Amino acid sequence: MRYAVEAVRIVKKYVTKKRKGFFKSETEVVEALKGISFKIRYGEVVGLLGPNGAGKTTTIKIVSTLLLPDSGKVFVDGVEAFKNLSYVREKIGIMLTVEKGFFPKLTGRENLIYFGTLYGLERKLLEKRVNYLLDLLELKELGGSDKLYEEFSLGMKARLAFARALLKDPPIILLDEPTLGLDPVSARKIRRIVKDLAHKEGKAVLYTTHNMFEAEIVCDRILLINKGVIVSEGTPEELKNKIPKLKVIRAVLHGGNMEKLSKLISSSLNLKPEIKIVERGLEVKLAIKNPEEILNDLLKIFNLANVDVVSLNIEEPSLEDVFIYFAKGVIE
Amino acid sequence: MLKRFISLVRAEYMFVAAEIIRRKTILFALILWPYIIMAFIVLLGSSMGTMSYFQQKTGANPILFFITGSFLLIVSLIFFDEISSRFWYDEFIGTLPYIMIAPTSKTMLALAMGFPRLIINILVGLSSLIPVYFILKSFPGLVEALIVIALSIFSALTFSTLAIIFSSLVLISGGGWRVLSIIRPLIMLISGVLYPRFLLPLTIKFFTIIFPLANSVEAIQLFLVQEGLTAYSLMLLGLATALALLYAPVSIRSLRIWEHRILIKGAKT
Repeated sequence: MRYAVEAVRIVKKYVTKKRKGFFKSETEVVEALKGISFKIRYGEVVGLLGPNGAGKTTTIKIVSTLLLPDSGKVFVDGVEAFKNLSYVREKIGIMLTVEKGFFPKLTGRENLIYFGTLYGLERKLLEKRVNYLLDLLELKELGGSDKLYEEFSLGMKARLAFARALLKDPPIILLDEPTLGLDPVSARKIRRIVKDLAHKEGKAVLYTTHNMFEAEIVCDRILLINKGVIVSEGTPEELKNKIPKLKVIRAVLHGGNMEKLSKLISSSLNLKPEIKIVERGLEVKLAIKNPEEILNDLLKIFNLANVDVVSLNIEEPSLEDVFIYFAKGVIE
Repeated sequence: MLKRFISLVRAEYMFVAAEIIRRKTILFALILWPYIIMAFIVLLGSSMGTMSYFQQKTGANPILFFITGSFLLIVSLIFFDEISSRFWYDEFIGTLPYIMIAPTSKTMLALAMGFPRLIINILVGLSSLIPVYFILKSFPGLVEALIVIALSIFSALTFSTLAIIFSSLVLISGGGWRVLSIIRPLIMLISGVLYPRFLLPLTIKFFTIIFPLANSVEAIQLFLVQEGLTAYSLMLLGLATALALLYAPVSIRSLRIWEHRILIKGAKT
């Protein structure tokens, strides 16, 4: 199978010098990536989820051929990236930062024309593509088409950066925290387009973020990265199932006695409920691995205790729980 | 390849034109620069002696000599100035990663970067050079001015490959404008624009032989003095061309070294 991206045991170290007086300096080596491997297929959005300094941007830079790894190999569209730079660069569209990376004295349209020319697009095709992208990202509506880049809002800057990544209509798109600091409207717009690009047009997308909510709604598969190591990977569901955290039954009840209810649940189900008074009555919380198995018994208990069920939910562990579990090795 | 190069020049022209038109200070500087440089050179020249003394010593009209010199200085250094400062500016504003990732030869791009400003400066130069030549020499002066402009373009082009090498050194050093401000006066000195080659010490004179700009500048100066192109001047122009071609592979290599350094460090975002 030909993968869009295949990274094999990538290692990257950064060497920095720390001044120790006027003549002396100390070399400090930071291992940003410790031999990570992963694959991305066409038609999927793969999220690279990790805290600041985890190695997300370094990974994106290496995959895009902007940074040479110390060891390991990167294959893009089945071709070894650093031995076929021109071929690989034709295949990739990249968005690195939201707030800079354009010429301040050019308009949104001019900036796209400039980079499109640099990317080898023929003039007529380029103008068509620029118009399409300005429409798609609603930059024309926002006035970004003919406004100088220095006058852009952050949301417009992000949309323009995203448009540049799509200029060549590349089969592989690399996005480094594309919605960082954006207003909800711009963020939602970008997320929706990303999903469409992968699922409707069959493009491969590598999407870095530290936003759990975003990773869960955008990504088909998630690579959890921490301190230069991919600590776990899978679909959001698979990742949630990997952690030993219990699911939670949360029921809001009307009427009934708190003590009586607690005793009934303890004796019948051998579980210790957490019960508190809330605005609408009593709230009962039960932590259990397979809540579906006790649901019938629980409803019978509520009936026995003569209470009305106002609401009942089963809460699954969130991606945040997964992230914290793998990042720190503990469940909070 | 030529089509690709022309489209790159067009894109660069769009960038340069926007920078000039939308930054009023740059627009004024561009218009005033030839006059400021000329005034500076004339002042420097007059401190060394009178105009007639200069004409007696060199055989050239000092006004024509210096106005041509100032124009030549501006045009000749364009490739060096543009390439070294543009990539540095790109790093500063965060456009460098997107330029590095473009499937375009960086040497071709570097050459394309120089052309828009070259064209603009020639247009500005026409307004300062042609009237003076016309006033002093009437119609023959007009033809002479056009030849001088053509030779200046030639000197800029023959210097372009060495300019890429110097620019790469500036970029590799990472010193930005600090290194630029050291190399620039040295180029001015060795080129012979500020200080005629025959007046330079023997050791520096030797270096000027392998410096294409110095050869083409001397050819232009001789053209002004002898009012025509002699066999020696043509030989100098040929030497400048040969040197430019000789430096071409080195210039490509030097830019690749810089590119490789960026790949190791990672382009700043």
